[in-house]
Amino acid sequence: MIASRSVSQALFAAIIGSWLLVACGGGGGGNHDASKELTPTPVCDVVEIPHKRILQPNDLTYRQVVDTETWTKQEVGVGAALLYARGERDLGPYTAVVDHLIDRYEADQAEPPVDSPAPTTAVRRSADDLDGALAEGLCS
Amino acid sequence: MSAPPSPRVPRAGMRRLMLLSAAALALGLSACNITWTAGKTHGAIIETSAARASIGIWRAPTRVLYDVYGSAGITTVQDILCAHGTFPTLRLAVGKRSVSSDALKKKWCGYVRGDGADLRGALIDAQRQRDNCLALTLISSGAYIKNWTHKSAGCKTGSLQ
Repeated sequence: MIASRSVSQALFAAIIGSWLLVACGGGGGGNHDASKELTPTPVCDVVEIPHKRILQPNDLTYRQVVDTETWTKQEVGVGAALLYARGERDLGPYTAVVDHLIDRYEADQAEPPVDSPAPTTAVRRSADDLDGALAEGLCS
Repeated sequence: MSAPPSPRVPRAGMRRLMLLSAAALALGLSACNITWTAGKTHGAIIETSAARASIGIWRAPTRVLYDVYGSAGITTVQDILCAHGTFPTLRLAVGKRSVSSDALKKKWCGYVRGDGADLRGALIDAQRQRDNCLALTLISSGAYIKNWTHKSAGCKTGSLQ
């Protein structure tokens, strides 16, 4: 009985371990190329218009929008455009930055006002990944 | 000493009140003849008394599009409207005039890009009127038209799908 339980536990651990190995890309660290893991279309549907129409003309990046404490109308427009386009698309590694900017937009527009969410390390990393992927032609 | 009031009485009264409210709401909505039909992000608005049919933009409150306009101009609003939208599956029809869902999908970007000034005016008016619904009227008084406008009923808060 005890042996049977141990086998089950081991099998369970093996399955979880295998799943983590696949999910984490073989444990090679966080330096993966996110753009190769995701079909660009759903991501581009959401991020391309604000990138080309608002960020690029104003020499801004998603990371800068994340780090800007007081949003001007440019950053507000980015949040609004993302909110309109977001839907329920799978944005993979860029989910964190897009959802953060949408949450920030909604918090800033709320009446009565509510506290804006603070960006986390994961959000900043996601923004950097997105900026990098866009610079490499993710949506070209 | 009198018996405590039965909880059934206020509950029944409350139920009756809710039924009356629902009936009043239904009556009010039918009076203004604005009906939402199926559609995830762009809803069909049929106003039978005016022989009018429109597409209401209700993916998000009008404020969102207004903020995009304030940031990047009406062309970007047109880009967003053209790129995103799930149309009603039902035919947009009033009397003998109708626009099928397929025709709507094919022509949508043309409608959106056709008259930026009209769209801008409607967007500004919608926002001034406390976040009214932005709408594109395609049939009015039984005739085909293309006219951006705004409507107060049924679409103030929108839907994020």
